[in-house]
Amino acid sequence: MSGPGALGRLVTRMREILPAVIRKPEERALALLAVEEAAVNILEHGYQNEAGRPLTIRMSVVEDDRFQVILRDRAPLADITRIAPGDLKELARRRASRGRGLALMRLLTTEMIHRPRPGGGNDLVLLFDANHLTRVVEEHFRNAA
Amino acid sequence: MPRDLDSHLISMSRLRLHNGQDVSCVRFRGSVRKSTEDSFRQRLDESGRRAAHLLVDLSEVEYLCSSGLGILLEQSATQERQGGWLRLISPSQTVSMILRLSGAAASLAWFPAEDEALDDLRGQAA
Repeated sequence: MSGPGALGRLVTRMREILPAVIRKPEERALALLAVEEAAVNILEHGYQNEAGRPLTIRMSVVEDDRFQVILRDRAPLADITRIAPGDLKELARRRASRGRGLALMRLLTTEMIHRPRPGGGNDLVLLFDANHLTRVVEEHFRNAA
Repeated sequence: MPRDLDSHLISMSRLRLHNGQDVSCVRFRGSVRKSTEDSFRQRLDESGRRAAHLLVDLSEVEYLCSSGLGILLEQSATQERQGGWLRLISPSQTVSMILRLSGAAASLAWFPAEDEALDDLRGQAA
């Protein structure tokens, strides 16, 4: 349920589950970052911070190093996969205070899928590949070196 | 990090004198996420008002959400408008990674220790 403590519960549960799918802690942190940004988006924009609204998060292994996280809500229909994400470097250069969440989700997932739910609401599917997360980490650390 | 810190943020702040200049120092412990971002913003703002130069110790911050990044960048711009700067001290591994991924690393200076961050701070002429 949305409301105080919802994200804390999500993080705690994800921390318990993720090690079974992703071995490296830094890659687990990135997957958690993408999921949390997606959840915050639903709570803030979908539910307008209203407490007591349903948000279900399911994680499952697709194959080997690939897994998916499905965020299921009853918020008004909103397909964020159609929104063009901001450019992270440009946002940083402008020192923009917002607009990074979707860009980070795009960067860290291999695919995002939106499905309207019968009766209202959204399913947002985030597809992750541990190899992709490894590449992202290597690329950004190599560039920083 | 204990799990109860996932949703908590503790801060300690002090004022330091270096080469005759005031430097405000704030140290955070916990996580910067939706539930703690207001506290993060408020503590940074309070610390930033004490001096133009602001050191932010993130060595015990395990997580920084995208809103937290935005707050840091905003505060950095505020300090520069006052003729100072905002510098990060020893961000944890996860926070360093988030700073780099987000591109914010290019706009925020960080140092391994407080004294190194103050190396180039000279005394003001009387």
